[in-house]
Amino acid sequence: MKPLIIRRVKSRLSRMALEPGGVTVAEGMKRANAALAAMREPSLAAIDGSLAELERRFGPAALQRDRERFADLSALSCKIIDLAMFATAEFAEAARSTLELADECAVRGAWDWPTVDVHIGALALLRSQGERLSAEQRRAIVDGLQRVMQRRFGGPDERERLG
Amino acid sequence: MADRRVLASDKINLEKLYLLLVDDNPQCLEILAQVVSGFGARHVIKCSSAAQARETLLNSSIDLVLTDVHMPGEDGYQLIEWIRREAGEPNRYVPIILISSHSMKSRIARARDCGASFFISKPITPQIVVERIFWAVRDDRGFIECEAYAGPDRRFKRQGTPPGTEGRRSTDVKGEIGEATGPNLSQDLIDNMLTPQKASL
Repeated sequence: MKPLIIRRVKSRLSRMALEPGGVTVAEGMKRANAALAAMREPSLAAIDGSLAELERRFGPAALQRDRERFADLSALSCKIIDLAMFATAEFAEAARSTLELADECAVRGAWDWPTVDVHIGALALLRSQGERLSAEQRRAIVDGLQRVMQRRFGGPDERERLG
Repeated sequence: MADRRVLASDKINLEKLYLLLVDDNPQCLEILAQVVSGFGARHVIKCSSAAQARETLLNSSIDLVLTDVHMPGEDGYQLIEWIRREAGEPNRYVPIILISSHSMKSRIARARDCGASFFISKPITPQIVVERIFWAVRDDRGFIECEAYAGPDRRFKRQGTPPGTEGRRSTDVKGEIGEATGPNLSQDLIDNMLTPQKASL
């Protein structure tokens, strides 16, 4: 059996990142946010494209949605989460819940279409209405999704055990 | 583990450091690049696959890796396992921040066990990214190498070895915590120890 070795290694990052010069966190945040502002519109357009694909392939009107792969819902949810920093925090949470739903369906090997429909509806509403909804209304939508997930699949700890 | 708080007035100097960003989604890669550039990084290498990242790591010395988990073919976990075992010196010790859309405990445990230094749950924000970079800067854990694992010490707190086990490190606390030998302290006694008392001289 290979013996356990512990090395004390100070990384170059640790040595150099605190050297004189550089930027404060506040300045860095300002600069990063300014640079990201230019990416906001294309990112929101990409989110809308993914939502349209979600609706087309997994929505109630999709004729062959039973044939879709769990991994594809998972991948689409990931694409939405990737760019969700440009939407509201509640939209990001709804997208994360959709990803968890895809994982749950994959673990069980069966689609739960009512829960998928609720998620797609919630994402569409949060994206189309966004800031027009009050924070309480947005929160209520996400809380509703969490209650649906809990009822269908159990609490997070139970889901972890099954997963 | 050092203090994890990051203040707005804290300074960070990434100017001379080489950062490697790995993500198959070009938009995500660009977002990440813009964020680290905002914090002063000048040498930012972007890779769209684990294979490309490996190539880079074999040819250049990297100071910080930020990698996505979900990539076609080789994923972020596999990339990190390769870095920790086979990337050669000094890259195998490089701080690595793993980024994932999943935030379930089991996925975070997987990130810890593949040798990632820290974890970010997407969507990323400049605040979270800089916070994790500071954690990596202040990280003073040892690098563990054994048959089953290579990477930063997964224990953030030194709490001794589990009951009934010897421990493999010379620094491991030996011995069991036995049964209490005296009666428990009363609540009044505890309160008196905590409440400031006027001294009588």
